[in-house]
Amino acid sequence: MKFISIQCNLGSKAVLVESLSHKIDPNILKRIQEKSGITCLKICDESEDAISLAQALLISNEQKNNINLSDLIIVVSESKHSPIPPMSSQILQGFDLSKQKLVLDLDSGCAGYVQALQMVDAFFQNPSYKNACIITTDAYSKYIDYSDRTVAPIFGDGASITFLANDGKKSIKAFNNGSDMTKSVCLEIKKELGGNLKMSGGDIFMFVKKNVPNSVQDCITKANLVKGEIDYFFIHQASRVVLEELRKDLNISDEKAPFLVAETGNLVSTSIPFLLLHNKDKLEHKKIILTGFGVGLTWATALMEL
Amino acid sequence: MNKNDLLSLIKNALEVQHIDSSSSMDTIQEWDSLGHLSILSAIDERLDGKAADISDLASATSVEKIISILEKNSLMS
Repeated sequence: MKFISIQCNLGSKAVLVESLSHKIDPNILKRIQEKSGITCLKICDESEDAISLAQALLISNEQKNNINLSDLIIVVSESKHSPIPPMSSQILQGFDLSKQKLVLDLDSGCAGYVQALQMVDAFFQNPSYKNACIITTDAYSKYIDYSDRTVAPIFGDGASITFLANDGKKSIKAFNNGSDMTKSVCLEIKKELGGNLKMSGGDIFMFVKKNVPNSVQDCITKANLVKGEIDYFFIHQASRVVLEELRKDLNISDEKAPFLVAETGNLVSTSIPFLLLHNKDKLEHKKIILTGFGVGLTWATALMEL
Repeated sequence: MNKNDLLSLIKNALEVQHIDSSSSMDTIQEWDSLGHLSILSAIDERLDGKAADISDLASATSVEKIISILEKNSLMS
């Protein structure tokens, strides 16, 4: 599996976290900002949503050509407007695409991109699949009560598109996935709760501490490697406090596990492609860990050699 | 870990001057959602990773509740 290109598109409205002070105590906001590491949120303006963020990535001729070449398209999102048609149809309906392709929707959040990469890797075992595309898009800002300090200063909106080609090589050397559905209420949107996103950060934090370091280590062991041989750990950018905890638990440096969302907020399903995009020049022949975790609650980890 | 160790650990995690047995997320301004993560992280580190296996601990937002959960799991002396 070979990465051909990655592009991201973030919400066009930049909201400074400190500007939320008309709804949240400024002292509290300051402390949250220090711990989360997030100073600015890129969110949708009134005219944008998860669909338009993704569609904007498809308007160039090059991208249209690439998506037409794709035998497989996977759309990862939890920001659909209505149950039917699927998010993929809502995004792609305006484009005149060739009909002969398998289009799948993956209802997943921050683990979704890593799950989708594993799906593409599995499909590519069949040489009939030559090209694939992963689209991620989420706009949590549409579901956030901006007086709720547990979520308001954290989440941004973003979409990504990744084109992959089947070069006959198996790039995913090991994977480890898991879930604990008993904790599904820790991150949820319910009509009876006002239709807003509710998050139990403590529960998610402990879920992550319990599972993600073991998941990463398991991939490294399965690939017959040691931690020092991994060049980069691209860890879902939940917030700096979570990333620092994982760096500590895994005993890895800031350089190997970068934090990149200070100016965007947690981009949910687009978090990991955003990291890959900003490090793309460094990745040739590198061994990397990708790990996402969140809604479900689920985690997905893959060790790739590029 | 005894009760005084725990109080000191929470005080340091929240970077506040005073914590006592009656302190909670409702009474200490610094004990917000991310402050709570600092407390969980510090307890887990002190207990050599054992805290991550105690599911109730994540939602324990008062000193009294934390003590009760740690006692129930035989992690307080």
